[in-house]
Order: sequence, then C-alpha cells, then structure tokens
Amino acid sequence: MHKVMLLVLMWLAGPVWASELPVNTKLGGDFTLSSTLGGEVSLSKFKGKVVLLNFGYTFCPDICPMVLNRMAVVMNELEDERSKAQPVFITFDPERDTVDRLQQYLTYFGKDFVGFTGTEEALTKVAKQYGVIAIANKSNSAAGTLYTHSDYVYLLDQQGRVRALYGKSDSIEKIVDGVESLLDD
Amino acid sequence: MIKLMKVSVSAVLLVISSVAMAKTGLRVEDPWVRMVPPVSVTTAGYFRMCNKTDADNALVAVSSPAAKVVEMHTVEESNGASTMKQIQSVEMPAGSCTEFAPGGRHLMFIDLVNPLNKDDKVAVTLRFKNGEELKAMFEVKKGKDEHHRHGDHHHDHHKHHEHH
Repeated sequence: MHKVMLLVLMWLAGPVWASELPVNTKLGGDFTLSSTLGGEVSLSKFKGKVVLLNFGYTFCPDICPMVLNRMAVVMNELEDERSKAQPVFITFDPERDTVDRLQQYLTYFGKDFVGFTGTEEALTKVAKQYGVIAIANKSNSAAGTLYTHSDYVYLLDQQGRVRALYGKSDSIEKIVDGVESLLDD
Repeated sequence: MIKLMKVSVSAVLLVISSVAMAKTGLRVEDPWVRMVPPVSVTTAGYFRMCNKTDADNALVAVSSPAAKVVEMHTVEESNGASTMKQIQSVEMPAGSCTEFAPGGRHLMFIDLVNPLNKDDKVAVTLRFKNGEELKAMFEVKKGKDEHHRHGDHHHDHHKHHEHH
C-alpha cells in the first residue's frame, strides 16, 4: 500500500507531459473583443500559440499586478520560445479600463502582452465561458468600485482549448513546465 | 579630558537607549511597496508590524505624501474568489507581530501623486490608538516569486507570504 502511495507521489512530482494536461471541456471558447492590437480581435487569432490568459482590472492594487508579474516571469523563462506563447489579459472593469489604458498598463509587463475590453455584456459573456467570478462591489473606500474576483491563469493550447488553471500558490516552475509541455507536443 | 569623557559617556548612553527603543516599542520590519506600471494610480504596501511593548495597541490610520489616500485593506477568500475589504484598524496586542503581505492584509495607496520607480523610498506615517506615530520608509520593489527564477529569491528568507 505504501509502495503504491509512493509511486503515486513520484508520478505527481515528476515532469509534466502534455498528456497530463487533459483538455477542459467545460471551460473556454473563442471570443471577439476590443483589443490593444487595434479594433476587434478574436482569441482564435492566436491559433498556433500557447496562450496564458488572465482576467482582472488595472485599478486592483494587490492581486492583479502580482499575478501579471508572475505571468511576466513565466514569459521571461521561455527565452527563445517566447514567441510561441501569447500572454493575454481581459478586464472586467470596462468603465475604467479603456484600450489605451490597458495598452499603457500591460506594456510594463511585456511588449507582447495583449489586452481586451468591451461592453459589460460582452465581457460578462466571456467571463462566464471561462468560469470567472467578477462581482463589482460599491465600497466606502476612496478606491470606489472594487471587485470580488477569481484570479486564475488559464493555460490554453495551440487550438485555444483550456488545458490547465493555475492559482497564486502554484510555482512559477509548474506554470513554465505546463507551457513547455504544450510546446513540445 | 574629563569633559571629553562625559561627552563620550553620554554618547554611549544615547546609543544604548536607542537600541533599547528599537528592541521594545513599536517596530516596522521589511516595509515595501509594490512596483506597478507608471499608468497605475493604485498600489499596495506590505510590512511586518511588531508591538514590543507591555500595552495593547492598534494601528488606526496611515498616510503618505506619495498618495492622496492610504487605506488598510484585507483580502477574504471564498469559493475561489477574493474580496478586498477596507478595515478601519488593526489590533496590535502587547508582544505580538502582525503581517501585511501580498494576497492578504495590505495598505492600499490610492491616487498616487507620481509614478513610483524601482528602489524609490516612500515615506509612510502610521498612527496608533495611543496617539503615537511612527514614520517608516517603504522601498519600491517587486514581490518575492515575481522575480526572474534565476534571481536572488532563493536566498531571500524574508516572509512575504506570497503563497495563499
């Protein structure tokens, strides 16, 4: 029994192969939104690339820049293979996050970061596709509207299918391994 | 000669008393502010606050010339989603330390006066329930685990509690 447990643990701790990242059939899908690339752009534009996708808002002081910094580190780790991956950020705060603002904000994390915004209706639809929680809370804080939100980084394969979700406690190495396993596919 | 000795004795006493104050009293450890894009009007501040006195106290207000408003916020997690909530005070029981860390309790700087650059020092004033005020210089930098993997974070044993 202990031997089996040990084998399972060794398997869990071993390198990640793409086959270990099953296609998530419940989440994901294509969308078309206003993009920092100019005009309306679809996710399917990045077909052939591995996509790291995150939802947030630029007014967020703590968690969103932390997660985007982590995405930036992952991208840097890819080195020569960087161009085969696409970092994407979708806001759920269209009132404050215009395309221009997203452009200025995301450049800091990497010139290849692409931002999306849209109407509240369109963004809600995309958030729902990906199972994102984003609830606006009017607060007494001087910051105005703050969001209750999830903060996963979604790993999409070259066909735009969701292959993994990474939380804040996942190591950078684990995310890099996930991206590289798809690139090796 | 005697005069000189008197001066040096008082200098020694002064050093001793300032060390004593640092070992007791209210202390701020590892204060830093998150580096954010220049377009950002908000950021977060983190530190460890220790109350090495015999009396209970509480942190009741924070201000800084770097932002119009500085608030204290906490993050509550439930069902995979985080909610930031403003808090009015943080209890500091006698002899205890309290963390302000990424993904948890933090200072929120709202309406930054100027963009913050790496290694800038931000002056912050902390005000306590007993009327005492403490000034600390917060360093602008990236969080642990947000650096390049080959960076220095393996040698960094400061507890920033990046993982939640």
